[in-house]
Amino acid sequence: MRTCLTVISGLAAVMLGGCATIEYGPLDGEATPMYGYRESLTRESEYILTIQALGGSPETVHAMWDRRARELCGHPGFQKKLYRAERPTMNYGSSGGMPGNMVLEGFLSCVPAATAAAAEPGS
Amino acid sequence: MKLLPALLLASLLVGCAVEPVPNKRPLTAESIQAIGKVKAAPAENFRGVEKSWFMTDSSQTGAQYGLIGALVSSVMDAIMNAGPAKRAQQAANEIAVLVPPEALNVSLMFHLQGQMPAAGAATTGIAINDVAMTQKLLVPPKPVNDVVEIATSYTLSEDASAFRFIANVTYQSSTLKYATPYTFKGAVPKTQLTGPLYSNTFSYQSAQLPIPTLTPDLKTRLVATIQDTYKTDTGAPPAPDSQDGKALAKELEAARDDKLTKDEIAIFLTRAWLGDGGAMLKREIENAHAFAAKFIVHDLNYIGVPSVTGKDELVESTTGGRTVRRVGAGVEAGSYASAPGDLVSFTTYGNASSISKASAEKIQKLTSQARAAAAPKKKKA
Repeated sequence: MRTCLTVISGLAAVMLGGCATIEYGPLDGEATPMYGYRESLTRESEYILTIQALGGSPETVHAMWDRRARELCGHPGFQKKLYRAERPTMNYGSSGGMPGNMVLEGFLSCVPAATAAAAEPGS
Repeated sequence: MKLLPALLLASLLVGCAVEPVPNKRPLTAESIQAIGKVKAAPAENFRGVEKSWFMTDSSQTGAQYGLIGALVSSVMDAIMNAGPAKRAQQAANEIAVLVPPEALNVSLMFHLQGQMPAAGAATTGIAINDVAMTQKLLVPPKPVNDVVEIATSYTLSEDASAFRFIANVTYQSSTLKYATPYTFKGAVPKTQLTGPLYSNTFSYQSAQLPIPTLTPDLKTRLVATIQDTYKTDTGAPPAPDSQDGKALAKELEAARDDKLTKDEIAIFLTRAWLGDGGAMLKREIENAHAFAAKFIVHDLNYIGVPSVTGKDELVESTTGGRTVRRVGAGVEAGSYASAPGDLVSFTTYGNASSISKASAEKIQKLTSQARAAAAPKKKKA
């Protein structure tokens, strides 16, 4: 009986482990995030930051973008230039489709706006 | 004995694995030098501003239940799609009155001509020295040598909160042959051995209109608009037991709930675009064409080779937060995208689009003329 229980609980752990989801995390991590982020450094203190959401509201997706931006920059004074806010249609079969997941992407600069303005020539 | 099928399967699977490369075909410094002055030939757009919508298709699900299932799902799909399809065409009709395809073509020509250097001015690299609209419906849609060909599309999003312009640009030479700049582990795929010397895509996303909030007045207007959509030519509502009648009942039920679907939002936002004689839509079209004309010339002279694993590059940033970027990764790498900065809602372009009745009739007429003109040639051959 004990062996049987161990096997069942082991199987359950494997099955549950296979579909582990977290609320927020990297897109290429071990668990599947509800709000996943991915960034690439383009130059010093500048990134392209992407949030992909499996659901939720548009406002939360924007909030998650800001959250990751704060984490990367270490302060809330970052500058952002969003250029992609889409729900691309996911196609399946010959002509079937369904609304896809929300994707929010943009340029992130950790240099505060005031510092950037002061650094520009002529200012 | 078991090895042979496994090897065959492995070879088949290997054959399927095509290494992805960007769709862009950049020019080289030598080809830019050789081309010099060039004519731009935008293809005449007949479709006008299209209205995208989401087409429900449950045929695959229905097919699992045999013939009866397939028949039931097709009837259900027809009822579900009737309203959105009708309204999308109605939106396209309304747009075509104020912004007909001819206006789009004239505007694009104007902006391309604006890129032509002044007569006698010294130029370096590739410069446009002539612009002429080409008609691709009456002539066989084959590439024309030694001209910059531009194919365009204009689409309103599902909820009509945004407008998108896409220009696909190609250049095929009579003397220069395309040599792929991309590297492959094995043999160069056949798709990279032929085709145009240059190709790229330019997309423009308009500013987003704010999504309306549902008020009792808005709900009343929504119901009235849906009822109008279904009126027959005599102005009478459809018979309740007809397919249109059933679709109307289903849509009215949906309209009276407390949620605004994208399709319902589009009813109001299409009219917002068309307010003041379509001023807002016309302005975005002008901006889209100005962007395309500028960056087509820019990119014809840009020799950078994109990579599917590259990074986005900010090419231009204007007041109001609008950015022009060169897409850095994927098969779209190297293409140019102009997007507004103040993005709030998430845009979708569905999986179907409708064009105006006038455009559909014109395309049908021209296509039949083209077929009729081609028919005697076939007999001779």
